[in-house]
Amino acid sequence: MKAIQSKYWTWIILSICIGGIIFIPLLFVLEGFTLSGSTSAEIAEKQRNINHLKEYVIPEMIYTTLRMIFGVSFVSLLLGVIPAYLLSNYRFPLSNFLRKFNILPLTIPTYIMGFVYASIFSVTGTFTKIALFFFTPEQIFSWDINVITEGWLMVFLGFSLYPYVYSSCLLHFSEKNKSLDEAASTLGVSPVKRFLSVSLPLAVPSILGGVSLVVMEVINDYGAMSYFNVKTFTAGIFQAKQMNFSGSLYLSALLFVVVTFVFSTLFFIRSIRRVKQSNSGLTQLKFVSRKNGIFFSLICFLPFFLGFIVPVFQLVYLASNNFSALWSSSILIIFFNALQIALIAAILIVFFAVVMHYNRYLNRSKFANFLANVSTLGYAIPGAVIGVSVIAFIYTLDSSGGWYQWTINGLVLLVFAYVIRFFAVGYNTTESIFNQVSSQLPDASRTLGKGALFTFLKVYFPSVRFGLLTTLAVVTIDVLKELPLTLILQPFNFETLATKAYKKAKVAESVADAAPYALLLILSGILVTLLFMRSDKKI
Amino acid sequence: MVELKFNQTLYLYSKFDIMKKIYFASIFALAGLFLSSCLATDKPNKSENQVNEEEKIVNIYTDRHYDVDTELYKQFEAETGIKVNAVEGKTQELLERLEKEGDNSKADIYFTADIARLFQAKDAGFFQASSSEKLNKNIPSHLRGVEGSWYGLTKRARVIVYSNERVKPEMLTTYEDLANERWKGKIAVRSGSNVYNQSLLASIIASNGEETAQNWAEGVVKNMYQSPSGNDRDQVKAIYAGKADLAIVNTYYVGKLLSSDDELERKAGESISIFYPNQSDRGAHVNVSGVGIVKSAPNKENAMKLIEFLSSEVAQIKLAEANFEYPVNPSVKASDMVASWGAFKEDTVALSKIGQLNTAAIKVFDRAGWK
Repeated sequence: MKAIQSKYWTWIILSICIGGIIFIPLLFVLEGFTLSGSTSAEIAEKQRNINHLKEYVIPEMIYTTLRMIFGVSFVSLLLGVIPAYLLSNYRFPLSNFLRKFNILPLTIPTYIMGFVYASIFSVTGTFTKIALFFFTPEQIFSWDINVITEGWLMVFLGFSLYPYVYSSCLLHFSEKNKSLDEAASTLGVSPVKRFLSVSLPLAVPSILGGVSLVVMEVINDYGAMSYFNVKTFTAGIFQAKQMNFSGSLYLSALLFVVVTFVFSTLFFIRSIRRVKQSNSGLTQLKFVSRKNGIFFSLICFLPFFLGFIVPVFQLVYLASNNFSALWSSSILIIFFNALQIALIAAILIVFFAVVMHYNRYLNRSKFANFLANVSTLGYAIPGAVIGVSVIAFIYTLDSSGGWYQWTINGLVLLVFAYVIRFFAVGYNTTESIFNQVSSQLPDASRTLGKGALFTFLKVYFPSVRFGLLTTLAVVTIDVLKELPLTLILQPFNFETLATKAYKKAKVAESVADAAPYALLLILSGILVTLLFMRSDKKI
Repeated sequence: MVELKFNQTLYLYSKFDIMKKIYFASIFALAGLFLSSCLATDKPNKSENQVNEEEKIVNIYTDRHYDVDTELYKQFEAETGIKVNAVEGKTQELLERLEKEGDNSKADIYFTADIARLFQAKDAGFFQASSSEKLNKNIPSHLRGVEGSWYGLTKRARVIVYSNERVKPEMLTTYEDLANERWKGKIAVRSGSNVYNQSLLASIIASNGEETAQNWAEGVVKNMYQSPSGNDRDQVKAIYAGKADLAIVNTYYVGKLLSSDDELERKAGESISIFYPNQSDRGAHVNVSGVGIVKSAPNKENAMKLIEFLSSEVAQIKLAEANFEYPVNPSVKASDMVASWGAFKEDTVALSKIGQLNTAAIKVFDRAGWK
């Protein structure tokens, strides 16, 4: 066993390099706390602006951000938890279909979701058009429908983000709660009470995991928030940028500190709430009565309907006048640009994640865990902030700007920023795969004198490769949707589907022109899912 | 720290069934496409590292995403052989990029859709002075910066639109009058974080001073039919739906509604009329989309040529028509629709002043509670 306990320095150093590459640029956010300026008058002006922000903007902004976080999380819980429970315990009409397809709303970026729903319920929107068949315009307008409000935005963002909660709960309910649930069932506890008093409390860590992803997406959204005029942290940063640059850096730095604190707390709570349970093996789905079955499928269909079918149909309707836009040759270039860069980033992320995990297996130390954890912080920082930090970072390495020009034109900087932002996604997805691999086989391999690399290639890798393809799909979809980083770090004459859709929506202040591109973006998300999804072969 | 995302999704993905053959074939197909697209990637700035005036390129950072811009660049390219490279981004992000790039920036021109942003760039020292007789002739002096630091290329007015049913134009006079109590609950206007509103408020500060402007903003907030949200189109639609009687919007949105493919949008556009305020004093507030030449511009001469081209009659007609704006070039007539809204007296306060007062305007909005 001696071989196993000794340190594997190559892997440690490799991990430190990766962790450093990902984490160090983030530290450049913190330069916002220093006040720069050439004259004392400039510094005084900046200080006045920061004081104004502190008095009029920051308090309101913090409340709004918290309200949005709680509101969207609540909607996501409402739409995600119950369907996940039903779908993992019962068999009813459409249950197989719904179990898979409730994940698809994730392919729709949050800002598209916001725009689309606003366009449906606008005064001249689809809703009015349908209602006109039955009512007069005066009647319809007297209902005073206005969805461009903070409350409705919570709902619409929830439509787009509930799959995070749904998927984490589904996995939990499918694999973890059977033994206790069955015990309660034997004792004659009613199904509803079993759900509330046994399954739900046990699911809290998983639910929090899903919710934390929702929270991060809410913090990062700018497009929908600005249209709905909801001033969260990201909007605050934007306003500070309008006033002067250092104020915005100040806010970004503040956000970085707050986010780090909030998420460390959240994950600390999760780690103490976690209950270790043994797996009771294969899931047995229970059949339900016909009446309940229809009721259950309605409940599980509703989120999918609201989060995917409605927006996609509205986009198809809006695009119907405009599909000719897709017949240009440039669309193919844009499509492949987007796919190419997303794949490069995703492959790098998966590779880095694997090294980190393998290092954790080889050198079972607190340091290895710490290294992995700080590298995942980027996911909570708004893209635009990461973009600026990355530029600052590269200029620190080479102040002549030569490296900068080279990296930005060669898309290296953009890929680098994607890696920083989405490493968490890759790392956590691969984590569950690596957790499924028992350490006995690689241990045996190494005890027999095989090296770490050999063991990895011959023993470890074969058992995880299908899972890695899934990770690749998940990360690729996230990168495809990414907007702020791409906008700030794009080279000349560069477009992705996300930037094209955004620009079209922005310029006309209407989502109609963007619809064809948004549909193509959603389609490529689905395509990537289908291409890379893991084959059904069990590990 | 984060143990999250999609551990779970794995489970879901694993549930999708697909034939293995299709699966691998697709992977290979994708890999093939991927490789070919790698090889085919356009690398426009390969030779850019050598700063070379002979090089026939000009590089633009722009926050305008109009198709007509691209068309005009192509036309310019065809006429002069100078290739136009563009980074189309968001306003503030482009400014930040310019700031970080400093003297190394390859950008020649920064093109943006509001004077406040032009001024912000100028104020931060991103632009260089320039002079061109052609430009001085094509662009009136209040629509360009001193020493040619920036040039306005399209012009729009921020005006009052009113319900044809419920408001008579005789009831309207000035922007200042919108704070009058008789409009309580009748005004539709978008957010104070919108730069068009900030520039309008800056023009009021320039004319009446900050204190009066503050009272005005507070008065308008009291008169709003609801807390601000949505864009200018939504404000017009609120009038159409009878929720409000007046709105503050940019003129071109009216043109966009009137020429929409959508019948209801056209109806919304037809339900209102444009009123040019302050005609008996300073005139209606106008704003520009404009450009400046970046300080470190590697292709300054080409940049100048492009700006001259964009201010020429040919380009001005297209720029103005595509977006229902007013041409800045006095020898070019507005499009038929824009002309049908009538001639008006415009506020000729130097736009630099408006840009300068932007931060003050933002603060007034915050203090007045104009969300």
